[in-house]
Amino acid sequence: MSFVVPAFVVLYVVASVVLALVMFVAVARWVRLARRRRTERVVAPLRPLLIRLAAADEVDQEAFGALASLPEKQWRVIEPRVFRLLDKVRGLAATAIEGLLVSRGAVTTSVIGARSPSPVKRANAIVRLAALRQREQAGLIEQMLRDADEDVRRAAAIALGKIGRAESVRPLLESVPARRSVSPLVVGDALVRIGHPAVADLIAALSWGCPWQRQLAAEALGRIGTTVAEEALAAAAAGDESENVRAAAARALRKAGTWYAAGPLLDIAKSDPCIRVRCEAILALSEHSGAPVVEPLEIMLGDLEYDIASVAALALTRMGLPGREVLERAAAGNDHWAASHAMEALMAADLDEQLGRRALRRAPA
Amino acid sequence: MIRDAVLWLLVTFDWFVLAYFLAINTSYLVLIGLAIVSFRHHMRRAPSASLEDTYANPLAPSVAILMAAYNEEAGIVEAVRAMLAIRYPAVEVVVIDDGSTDGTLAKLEDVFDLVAVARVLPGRIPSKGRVEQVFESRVAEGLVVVRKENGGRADALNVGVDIARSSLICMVDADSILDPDALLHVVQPFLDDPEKVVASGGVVRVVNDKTVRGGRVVDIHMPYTWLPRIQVVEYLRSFLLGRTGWSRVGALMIVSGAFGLFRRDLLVEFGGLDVDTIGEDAELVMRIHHELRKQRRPYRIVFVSEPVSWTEVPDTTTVLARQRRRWSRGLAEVLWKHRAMMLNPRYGRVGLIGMPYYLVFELLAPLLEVFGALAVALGLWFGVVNVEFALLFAMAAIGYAVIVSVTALAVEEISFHRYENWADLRVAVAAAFFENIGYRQLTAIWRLQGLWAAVRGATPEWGVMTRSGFNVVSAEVRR
Repeated sequence: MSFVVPAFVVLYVVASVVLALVMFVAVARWVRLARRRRTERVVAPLRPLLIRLAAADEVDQEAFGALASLPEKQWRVIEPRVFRLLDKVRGLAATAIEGLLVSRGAVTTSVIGARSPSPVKRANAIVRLAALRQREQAGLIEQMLRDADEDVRRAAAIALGKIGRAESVRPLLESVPARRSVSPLVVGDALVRIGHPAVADLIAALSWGCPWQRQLAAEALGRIGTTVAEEALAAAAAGDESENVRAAAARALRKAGTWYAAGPLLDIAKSDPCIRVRCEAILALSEHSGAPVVEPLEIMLGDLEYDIASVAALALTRMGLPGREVLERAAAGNDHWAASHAMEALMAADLDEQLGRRALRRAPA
Repeated sequence: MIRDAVLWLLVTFDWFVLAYFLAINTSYLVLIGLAIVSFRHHMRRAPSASLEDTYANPLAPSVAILMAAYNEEAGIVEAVRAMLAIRYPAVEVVVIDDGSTDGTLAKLEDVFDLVAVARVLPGRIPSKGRVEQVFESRVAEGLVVVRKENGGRADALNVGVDIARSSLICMVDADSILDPDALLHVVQPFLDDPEKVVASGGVVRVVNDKTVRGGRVVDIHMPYTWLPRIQVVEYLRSFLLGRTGWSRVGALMIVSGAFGLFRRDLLVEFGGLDVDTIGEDAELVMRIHHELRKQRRPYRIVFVSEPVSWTEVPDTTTVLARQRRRWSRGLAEVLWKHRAMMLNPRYGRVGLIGMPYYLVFELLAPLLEVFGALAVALGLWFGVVNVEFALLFAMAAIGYAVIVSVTALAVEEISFHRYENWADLRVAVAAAFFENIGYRQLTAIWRLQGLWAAVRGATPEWGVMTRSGFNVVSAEVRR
């Protein structure tokens, strides 16, 4: 048997490739460690200045001046650390660090970066503009919600949430069903961060065409916790065609509802075709309604659907003495199913009280 | 005449095996190439995708971490501590003691001050072993311990899925240690694409001989013995790079039981894990593919390369042999159970690429490796192949495999570089050689035994993992 390429040539080739790969690994490591050492050499003497700037009760002018006058080469090394520090501090320290970054031209370079052909640079530039709370650049960032790169779009949505401008609500919501879309959960987070200035637009969005937009609007209104939206949320919880929107609206009424919502919520808890929506309505009821809904919840305790019975028991534990009385009665009763749920809820409530746990127990997902 | 025919067959088979080895190693290189593309995207994204944003997101889905434990008294406390130390906004930890006969439950009761509670089980997923008691901890909020009759790992996890109250289920082994930010990473695909992502898996690395403090791996270095060292390289190539590559193709078929995240509603809908299959994790993923493709529902199963679950690997050949026989048998069962998907265009890339690949290059690989080597030896003996052919064969089977392993090390070095010491690098390179000389041939024999056990339907050999444990620096449970 003869070969065009002799076997020993193959052996040499294999050995050479392995050797080259090993050399590559070694060189890559050496370069990485050398780069790290070089960076550390620059950063080490500047670290105390950064700490002084971040920790002082008033702006440490000496540290500020020293950092502001660093040579460009040193500044480039330390700038990412200054941005990371800005993320961790509040108040005067944040103002001082923002001032330092602005004085070093971080806004200008970020705006230039936002127009870079590289998606990495664009995303990083947006993150920096958000860290610097650049409201003036919000328009530019809103345009980036339609960027070709999904990471840039995501960074833009997060940035708009951090900047917190009411005008960003509409572009954020519009980015969800777009061809180049942004993750709804990222947009939802941004809407919650914008907070109260977003309320009017969010209420309007409850009647938009896309179910995701309506669901996010309801979720955000619930997290913001404004009772202004109560009527619109109650209407959405009762009548929206999407069960996700109805569930989100019912959940929102836990924080954004008052006694006014009790009637619609009770109807939903009794008759909505979707179990999840009914569960959300029951939990919302327990937040606002007091004694009048205890009786319907007692009936739901015997519901053969596990989630309904379980959530009704949980809701009763949140309703003070009237709820507890119902649970104790059910626990001693003949309905084994209702008694089991009541006992579970009572034991859990006792344990939480004993240990001083204030967080609400989780309902079945 | 017959002799000539036999010798002709022998030569043909030798050439076939040579081509097979070239193909299998090339396929590994292709997967590594695909993984590099994914890593580039991941690295690129890292600076702008802060985990803090995920942590602070009020809409992030709640996660229940399920740990099935059977006679795990040696490491259970540290493993639970590690899970409680995980950074995630909404997490519950459910430990299911599957009828342990050692002090697993006693240790948990002692350290976490457990108190029995009444809990009504939804019973949406049937279980073989009866649930005896449910406990909650007085000192660790969010910790639930379930004591049940022995029914196997899958059965225990099914009870956990049933009792959990979160939207996502994270299955981990009772001896796994997760990186503190692991959940934040592995949840990210669910945040990015909440409509389609139904499962995600994280990478599993080797924890042997490392120090664990407060439930965290604090010093990362290569293990001290060769068997785990070789498995470090093997896990790197197969689990990190291989699965990242498959995820890129959209045909990820295995999410490791040591660290996988699933949508709970889907697990309930599909009846949980199959208690009669050895490879229940792989079977679950295949069933998700099977059902969702059949119902034409859009979905994605994603592998995330950054979060790490540290797990102890076998450090004796006896335990390793048992593990590999079980894996091979599990794969055979899964492929057989879902054979309707094989080469069926309805099942997309999973049916057309993933399943045939796993059949030819995973399940049947030990068959060709063992008999191929024997055939070449016989060929040499009968003089139908010469030394030059044998050398060429060795280069295709071993040399090329060493190239693949060292390439995997190179990719690790430029991406995650978890092993920082130069000594670790030397050991890793040596392990890449030893993996292909001796270790691989041994595992091929064990896998062949597993395949044979599957073919004749032998009684399953359940995986009792003898643990040496890692170095634990004890810490008080956080009160």
